[in-house]
Amino acid sequence: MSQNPERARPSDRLNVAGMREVLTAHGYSEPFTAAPAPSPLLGPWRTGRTQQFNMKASPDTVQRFAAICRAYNWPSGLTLQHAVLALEEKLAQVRLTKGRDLEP
Amino acid sequence: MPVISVTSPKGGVGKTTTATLLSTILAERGISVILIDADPNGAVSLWAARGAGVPKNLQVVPAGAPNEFVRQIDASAATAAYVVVDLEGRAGQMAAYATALSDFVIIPTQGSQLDAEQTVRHIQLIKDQERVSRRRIPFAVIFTRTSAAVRPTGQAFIQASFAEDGIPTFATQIADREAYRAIFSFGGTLAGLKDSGARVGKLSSAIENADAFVDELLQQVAA
Ligand SMILES: Nc1ncnc2c1ncn2[C@@H]1O[C@H](COP(=O)(O)OP(=O)(O)OP(=O)(O)O)[C@@H](O)[C@H]1O
Ligand SMILES: [Mg+2]
Repeated sequence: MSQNPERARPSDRLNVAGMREVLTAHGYSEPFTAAPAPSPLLGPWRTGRTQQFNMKASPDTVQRFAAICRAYNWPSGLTLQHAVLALEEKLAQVRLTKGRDLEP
Repeated sequence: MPVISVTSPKGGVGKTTTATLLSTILAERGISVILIDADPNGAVSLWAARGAGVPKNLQVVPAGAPNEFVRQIDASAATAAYVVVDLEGRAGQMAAYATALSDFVIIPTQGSQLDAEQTVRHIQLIKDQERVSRRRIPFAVIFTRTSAAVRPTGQAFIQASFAEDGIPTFATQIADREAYRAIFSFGGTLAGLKDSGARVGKLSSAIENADAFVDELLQQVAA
């Protein structure tokens, strides 16, 4: 057996529907709660607690965002988390009314 | 790396005892082990929480919810040299997932005809799981709570019929021994009992027996 943690685990092709059928055929009627997520190995940044977040932004913003990710070797989710925190701190100082933008 | 599940369709056949002996002995041989407690009754977790504690190479963790269990097994297999899963005494979703992801499945059984029949049905279930998951799931039956002194004719008959049907069976049996109960009363391991000088009958035989079981398993599952 290989020691390589990168090898494909059987979970990559887990046949949940088939397993449910087998259990039913053998008289076990317990419902399967939810299909298990096919599992990328949990790395330091893969906590399993994140969700997809797509958005559009100006090319300049996207490039500067990516530059921060590269410079600190942060995943984009972590950079976004820091950015939101920084913005919350700034907004707490300025008391903007709704609909107004921040001064650059 | 290898994932080893201990499962049976029946309660009280010695799954938790088998899983705990295996995990502690591997850990005491310097091998990193994650023991996943996938029984809602939490017998393994209770054992781990007892005074004597667990060996330093052993980590005992409760199983996550069914939809997280698969990831948990994968992540554990990427971290530890061995992953051992102690399951509830019935076939169900958790057992199905664990079996499907296992490199080896141990099925403890006691030597009665009723137990044997349930074991055979459980093996048919595993065979069907092999079919739907399109991979071989190596398994073997281990006789537990057997008498160290005699082999009752009923049990001998069952062993012979298993052999005839080509059901893989451990040559080592886990005999009924006080020491295997004692680790659950005091916590800790067989070696720990020995070091503490506790007066437990036939402790060295129990250690030899458990070591033989682990050696036999390792011959079948290479890390
Ligand atoms: N080899 C053994 N020698 C002595 N006692 C044993 C042995 N195996 C199991 N027992 C005792 O039998 C009882 C059931 O064993 P164990 O908890 O290991 O079974 P199990 O299959 O995990 O049960 P469950 O289905 O309830 O989880 C326990 O009290 C345990 O201490
Ligand atoms: Mg148990």
